Amino acid sequence: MTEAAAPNRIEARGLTKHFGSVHAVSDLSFSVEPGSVTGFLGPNGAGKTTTLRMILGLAKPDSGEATIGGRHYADLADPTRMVGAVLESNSFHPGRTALNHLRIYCAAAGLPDSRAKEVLAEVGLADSAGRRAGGFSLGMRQRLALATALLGNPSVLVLDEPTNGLDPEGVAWLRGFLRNIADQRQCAVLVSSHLLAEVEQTVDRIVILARGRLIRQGTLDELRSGAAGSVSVRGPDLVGLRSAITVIGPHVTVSAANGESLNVTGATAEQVGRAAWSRQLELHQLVTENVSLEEVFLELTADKAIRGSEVAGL
Amino acid sequence: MITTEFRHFTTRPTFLSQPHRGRVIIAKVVVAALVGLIYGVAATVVALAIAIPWLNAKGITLNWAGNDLGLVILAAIAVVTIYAIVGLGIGCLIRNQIAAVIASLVYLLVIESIIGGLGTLWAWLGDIYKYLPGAASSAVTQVDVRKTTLLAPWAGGLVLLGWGILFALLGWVEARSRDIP
Repeated sequence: MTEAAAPNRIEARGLTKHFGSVHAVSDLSFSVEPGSVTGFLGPNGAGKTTTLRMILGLAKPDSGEATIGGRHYADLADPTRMVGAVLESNSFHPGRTALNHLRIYCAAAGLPDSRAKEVLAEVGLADSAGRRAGGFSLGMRQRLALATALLGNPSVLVLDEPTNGLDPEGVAWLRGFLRNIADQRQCAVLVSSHLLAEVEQTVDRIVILARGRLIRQGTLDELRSGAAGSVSVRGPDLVGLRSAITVIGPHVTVSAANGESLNVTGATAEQVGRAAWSRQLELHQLVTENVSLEEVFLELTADKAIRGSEVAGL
Repeated sequence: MITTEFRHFTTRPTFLSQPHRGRVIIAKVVVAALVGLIYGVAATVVALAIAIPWLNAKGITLNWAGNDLGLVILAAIAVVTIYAIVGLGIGCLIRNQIAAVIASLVYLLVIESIIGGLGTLWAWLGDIYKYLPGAASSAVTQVDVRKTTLLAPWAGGLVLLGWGILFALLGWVEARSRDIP
């Protein structure tokens, strides 16, 4: 019963790859579970595409390995039926019609020609089957790429920036599509993006990459809770409050937001309230300032050194 | 045959549907040989269709007696077939289509001509020149435009076949070892 051991789980272990002196990916480990959509996030040039290419066997890691259901991509018995991939930029001959493009890969995978029309309908390109792909809009190209990925009805989907060039309607459609394929077909979906907002509504888990290194991985909630949220506290005796709060712990920082309130990071509202209570200090306001996931993402991926020098330059 | 794939990134779906890249290259070598063969036959037919009436008009009749003429024609077709395989190998090494074509033409028309020319002055270079692809194909087809010393036709054919196998192997190794963009 090896089939029970998730035949469509993507796993990266210690993936490392450099181009010359540039470390594109360094010791990257993460996994993508069946029945889930995992967002693969990072700023441009973080190494996302390189990682996806290593998972797909198009690029060879310097060290480490990536497996799908425990096998390297090249060792998959029937890759087209197992994995569908959409990589950035076009992968079709511009002179070929959408239908003929798909029929080539039907033939290569031993699928019936009829699959080509089916996937075109699935991605909403049925009416453009006979048109040459070179004349397609960016959004249509993305749909054609997705259609190619879906030919073998795969249980793993790897998508590199699939929302590029899609109009809002297309983005909404893709969201529903990915959700559906993960929930209904128990697919493992890995979707990369440099915009968190784009995938936030779709993904279950997130893997964040910056400068080729894993910054964080987990569920959206885990990411939110791990973020350095702040607590705003207001009262008549700010000096007393400040000294009460600082004894909560060494990680707590207090700054004066204005003359009336303090901004506390590293402590929960409960801890701040208790600290004030213990010293019999009067409070007029105690609020947890929720940070958006986007802020968390920026905070995690920002190059601190660059930011610092910019601030110094001002 | 391969550079167009690299140019339009169809190498991705190709190698995703068949991750054993060596098999893709072997298939392409077979197709290249077939295309080369068909192209060679077509080119020969066209050449003869033009040449025979033209030569007849000049009062020259081709001597079909014996095997000489037939052998030369077959040799020319074989040369085109092998060149197709060499071209595929070059495409695997130089993935940019235009660069691959220019490099091949510059080599055949300029570099080998220079080596051949110098080979008539220096015997040691002439000995090397005999084994180069252009010279080998001249030997097979017995068309010596540079008045140099060539191999015997059969030896030239073997050398040319060797070049075909070498480039097919190089292409195979390159496709397997290098990352696909």
